Amino acid sequence: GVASDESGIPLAGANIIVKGTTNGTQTDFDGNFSISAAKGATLVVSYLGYITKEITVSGTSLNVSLAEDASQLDEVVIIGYGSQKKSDLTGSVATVGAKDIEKYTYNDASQALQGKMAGVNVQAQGGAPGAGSVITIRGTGTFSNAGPLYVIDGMITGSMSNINPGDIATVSVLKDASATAIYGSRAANGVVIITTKKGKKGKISINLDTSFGFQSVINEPQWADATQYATIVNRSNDADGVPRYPANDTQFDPNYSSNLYDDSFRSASVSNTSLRLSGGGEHSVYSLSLNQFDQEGIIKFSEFKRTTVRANAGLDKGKFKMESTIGLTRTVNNPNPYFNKERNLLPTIRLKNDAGEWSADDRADRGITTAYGAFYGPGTIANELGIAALEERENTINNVLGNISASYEILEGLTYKLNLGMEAASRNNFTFSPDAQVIYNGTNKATSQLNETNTNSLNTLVEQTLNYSKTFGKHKVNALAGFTDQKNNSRSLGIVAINATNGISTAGAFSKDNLQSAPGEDITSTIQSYFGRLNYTFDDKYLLTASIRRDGSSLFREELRFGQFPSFALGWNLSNEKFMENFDALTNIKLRAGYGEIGSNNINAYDIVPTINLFSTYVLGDVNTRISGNAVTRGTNSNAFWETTKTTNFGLEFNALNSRLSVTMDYFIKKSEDILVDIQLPLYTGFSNTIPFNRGSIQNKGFEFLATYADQIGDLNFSVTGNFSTLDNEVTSLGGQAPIIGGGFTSNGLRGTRTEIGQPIGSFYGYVTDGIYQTNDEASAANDQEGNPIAGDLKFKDFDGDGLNPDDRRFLGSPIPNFEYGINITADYKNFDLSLFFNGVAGNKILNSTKYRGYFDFNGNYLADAINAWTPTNTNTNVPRNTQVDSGFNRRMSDFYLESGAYFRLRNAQIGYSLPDDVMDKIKLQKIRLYLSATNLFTISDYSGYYPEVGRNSRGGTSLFNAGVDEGNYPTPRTFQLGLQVSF
Amino acid sequence: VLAVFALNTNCSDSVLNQDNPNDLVPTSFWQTPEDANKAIIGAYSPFLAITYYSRFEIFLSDYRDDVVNGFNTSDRTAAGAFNATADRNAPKWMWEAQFRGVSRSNDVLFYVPNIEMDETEKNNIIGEAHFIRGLNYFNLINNFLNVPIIKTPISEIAAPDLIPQAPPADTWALIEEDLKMAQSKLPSSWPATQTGRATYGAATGMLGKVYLYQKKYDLAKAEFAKIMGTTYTLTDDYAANFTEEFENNVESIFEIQLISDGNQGWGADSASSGSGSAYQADLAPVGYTNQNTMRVNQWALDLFLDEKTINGEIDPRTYTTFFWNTQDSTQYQGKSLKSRTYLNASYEEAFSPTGTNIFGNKYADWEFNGKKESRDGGWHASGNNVRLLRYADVLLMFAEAEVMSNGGNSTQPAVDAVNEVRRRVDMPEFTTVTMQDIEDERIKELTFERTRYFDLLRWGRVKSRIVESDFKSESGGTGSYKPGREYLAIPLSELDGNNNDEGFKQNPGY
Repeated sequence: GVASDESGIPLAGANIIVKGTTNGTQTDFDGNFSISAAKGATLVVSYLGYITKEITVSGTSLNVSLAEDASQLDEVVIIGYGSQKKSDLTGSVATVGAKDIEKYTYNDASQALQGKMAGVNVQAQGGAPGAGSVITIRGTGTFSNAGPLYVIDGMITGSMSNINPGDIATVSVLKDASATAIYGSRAANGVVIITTKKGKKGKISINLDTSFGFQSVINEPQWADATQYATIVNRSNDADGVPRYPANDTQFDPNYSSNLYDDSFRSASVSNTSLRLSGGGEHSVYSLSLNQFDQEGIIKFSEFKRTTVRANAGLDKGKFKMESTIGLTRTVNNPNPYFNKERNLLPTIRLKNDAGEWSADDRADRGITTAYGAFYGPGTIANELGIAALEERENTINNVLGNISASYEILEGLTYKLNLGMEAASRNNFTFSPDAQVIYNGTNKATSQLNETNTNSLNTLVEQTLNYSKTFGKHKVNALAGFTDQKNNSRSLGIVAINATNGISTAGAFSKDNLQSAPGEDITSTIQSYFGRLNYTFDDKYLLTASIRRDGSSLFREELRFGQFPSFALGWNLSNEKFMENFDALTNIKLRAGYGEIGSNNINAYDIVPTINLFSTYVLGDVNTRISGNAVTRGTNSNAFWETTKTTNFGLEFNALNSRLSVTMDYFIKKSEDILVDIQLPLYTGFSNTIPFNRGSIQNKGFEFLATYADQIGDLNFSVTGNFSTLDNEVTSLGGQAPIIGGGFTSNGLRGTRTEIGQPIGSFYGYVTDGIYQTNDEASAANDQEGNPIAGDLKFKDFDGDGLNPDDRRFLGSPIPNFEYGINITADYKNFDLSLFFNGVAGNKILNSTKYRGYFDFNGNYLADAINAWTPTNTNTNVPRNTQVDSGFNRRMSDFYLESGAYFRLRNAQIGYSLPDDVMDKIKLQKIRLYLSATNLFTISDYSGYYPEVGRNSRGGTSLFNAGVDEGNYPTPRTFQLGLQVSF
Repeated sequence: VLAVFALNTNCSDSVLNQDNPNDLVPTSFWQTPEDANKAIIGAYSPFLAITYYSRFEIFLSDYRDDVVNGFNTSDRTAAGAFNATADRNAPKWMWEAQFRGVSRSNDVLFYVPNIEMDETEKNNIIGEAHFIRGLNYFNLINNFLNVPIIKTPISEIAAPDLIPQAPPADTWALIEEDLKMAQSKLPSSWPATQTGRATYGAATGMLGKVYLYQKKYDLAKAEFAKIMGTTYTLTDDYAANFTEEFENNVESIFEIQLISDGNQGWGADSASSGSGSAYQADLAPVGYTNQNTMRVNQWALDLFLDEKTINGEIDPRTYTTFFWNTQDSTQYQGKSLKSRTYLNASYEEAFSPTGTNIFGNKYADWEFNGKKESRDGGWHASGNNVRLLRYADVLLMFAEAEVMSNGGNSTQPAVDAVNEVRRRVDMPEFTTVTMQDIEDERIKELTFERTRYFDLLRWGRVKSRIVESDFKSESGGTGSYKPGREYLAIPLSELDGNNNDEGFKQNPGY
């Protein structure tokens, strides 16, 4: 006989079995099969993704046509070490499929998850080319920066940045502990499982997708021009009793001015091209894909290129199966880290001198001999755009992520599987800053400097699992046992050298006299684990999952090395009960409840053992010479151990309106305990580093809701998916440690956040403003302990009436949104298709430190709005008086800097047109589709900075205590793209 | 892929034992004379931290006195404005660096006696450790008054979070004891390659200073006398004490050794950290620095100008110390001294013919290597040593001890000592001296040498001299003063990290 799909295309590898026997076979490449069976016997014909058909043997040849079962395909959910039918699932797992992902062009695969899943927060790290994201699943349960665990085709890794988004077949995010506990020690922050596209048995198919577009900045704060700047500084100098600087006063000349922001931005291109070949033979499938993604930054002198190649292959013969996947990724990143430092150049200085060179000093061209600072005024004045232009920067990563797995069915239902994964990466970070021109404080940058580091890393994973899957009448059992061994090694060596010979930027051009240091390290960590899981289903009504994992980590000392991570969960398919038989309003009703404990080994390798610093140097000798001394410079805690997160989850799912509407709801309580808190011992111990102790605890609670409505009206097919989640994050213990102060937003040591018991992590903390002092008497009556305000200074609230002092500081809001939502609309009408994706957040605050720089900091330009400052004749304003001395200490942390971080935006929009079938038949192509898409078409937000999605790139680094501090993050662009898809 | 596994995996349990291949660990250290030497260098190292003598110390010494009027309110000027509250960086950073010196000295004193090595070499190293600990505690008590005494490695203390603050008398006793030990074990000089290590003279001079600070005048006199006469002499040219060219000269008793080698980084414990001085930018005239800097209060210049040399000219020390608006000049050591700053600019060229601000000039060393501005070469741009103790200071301290032990009345040894200092700069000799003469001489001789504020402190005159003045007008005034704020606040990190509620408290006034 022949097995084919409804359109007559043969199905290769379909299973045919004589019902009630073990007599079976598979179709060949052309869908042909032959089997001996008695007339009248029943053949069962099955093929993954199609509805199984039973057919009675009536003659010698049978043509079987199978109908596609789209719903069933969607309902198989990838979980840890396997997959499960959605109806059998007891944990909370969110999924996104290729259909949703491949529509748009993302500069990082993680962005494909944004807004699509309830409880999964994806925050892009600004709009820099190739910028990644911070993914937080169900709130932060640690004080470290640990994110979720990523599993790409079976290989455990730390990020999904190396994946071409177009290669992704499915993403499953395991949210609750009953789903993640099988990953044990590294799953405390959730697990993201990615499977890439595999080939399908059948003829070769070729898909081409190419797009090209432009990006531009969305919102620009207005900075002062030269005239405004001079006015502001003169006003300040007059108020402070300091003489005016000539450049702003007697020698002010509007011909000598710059407008850095206009000169920094550009309209930038982005292009993406993918080609995929896939197909399969009788016992094999293959897929090969190529992708090239190029993105220029909307800030000059930044760009990013990513090239990926992915080859997937599969082999199956009887009881033996083998799969391999290998992904090669090369990224080349040329960042411009000087963005938003560009205000360091005063607008009274031109970007380039008469000779057309980058400059930060016009004195020579103007014939002025007054000392630099005495002419322009004080400040760290640097032409950062010039530095960005002259400096060479390149970060290159070559990454190989591969996996081979082989399985054999030893006995019926019992399968052994060996999975080998590896990730090898080589990175090169290169920066060379030449000793070029006058770009820094009116002088040459003192020395040229080369910084280059090469890092090689190799991570390997060996997994052996036994899986037993069997159905006994109404009992369905699936048991899994496994052992894994993972080893991560990273080794790096770099060079820091100064004073390049002839300005040559390669390491070979430096002699030992130029060498500053050769930083290097060699880090190895290992984990060994044993795990087991039991899934049991009775009568498709009652579901049970129990799992346990035991992990040993090299990061902890021997006695504390192993941790156990158990979980169990129950499910009840209510709709399958007899008494629900006649209840049609809701179908597929399922109740779920689960509990699990998972771990986190959030310390760095070798952190538990003290070390001797070899470079505690002093200088000795008649001829001064640096002498290396030794000292123990860091304190350590040898008793550090696992952090544990205990999650309780309740879920409800149902369908309604004849399955057109499906709804999933979850409520969770996630308690993280023994959290490593970086404790600052008293400095009199001689150690200033913070040392991790297992003392903290954090609680996250939240509600998640996801609903999809899909319908068809005439030729119009549409579907609307909406999701929202709420989150309540609270620190419940700091183990006796004082509140953690973070969120630095200035170079002067002011901090914006405080992490304290009873508050969300990294809450904003400071004074509450109450307008502006209108008289000196009012100002001095405030009895301000930290400043000596006068009329025109910011007025802060004195809550307890005992004068203004640090006790009057309050919690001012949190950077964590307490409500997030996404709406995904897709529709097609005849040959047109449309998709719209909206998302938004609410309830969070942003510390807009551009306000600090723009109103108070005199090491550079001011915001144009600073000209509207309070003066005796301009009293109706909320901008405090212009002063550089700032005796009133207006700069202190207060709600002056805080703004609502809520936004609602049309994140992605796309309209497509596919050429009609009759045209396609003529030109013998399967599909041609043209599309136009736009990213960030509109964003509704009150935020006055560049963009309300600010990431964690503040001065204090990417620590979570700096979340929501916007130090002028690389702005998120608006993008328009035109694309073409061809399949044949 | 399979081949890679053969290389990278290991199926035994021992794979979970991973030793650190990057660093030396303490268990293998403290074995050889070389280790002892490395460890004592490590104990000197914190002096070079940018949070200590390389830079920040100046904000907690000279920036607090009545000469310096620092521009703008910030961490740099907070201590001077009596606003060095517990959460400020500057005091915390310096406290930290000082205790680093203490804890590393403690390590040396604990481990080195057990190392088999040459006895003299061992004694010298132990003497240095006592000196370093004593000097750090001397700075700690003058800045923070109530500090914990720690004399063993922290790993030997069962509950480091319960250590109480010591009564100041106990801390003073420890400092004396340390310096006496240092005095008994240190050599009077080191080979040329080791110049800069503490000597007998340094320990003795410091011990005298410690006695003087406690008003133990007779003891102080005796110590100073031990190193007066032949051991040290004054340089011919006063200015030679503040240039890189004449470091560790005949007048020098103890200097913080600095080098400018292009390294820019912070911190003292890294291969590429800067080991040059970064404080020049904070003393330099406005415009020649990337910092906000300061100006000098008028009274100080007036004091310098009040008295003329034997040739009827301005005290030559004025030109070394200040940069101000004047056309005057003084003939000294075969040179014609004028008021000049970086680029050899006159005041009129640098600012304006009518400018009144007075700026610092000492230590700027702008003639060395043709330095154009203090920002030349960035941070750590100067290798110019900090002169922590020089012979002129010893002579003046000796004179003070003489006069004070004589009921405040002049003695001939005191007159001789002061005149020795004055003769070098062509100033007329005294026949008798008063405490006022000695104080004035200290200002003229030692301004910007980290001693004026602590002189006022030990004389009990901080409040009367600074608080009730406008000497801090540029940095927000002294309105934040409260009794007790002559000393800095105990840093928040210490109060938070110490759990001995009864025995560890914030200083009065904070």
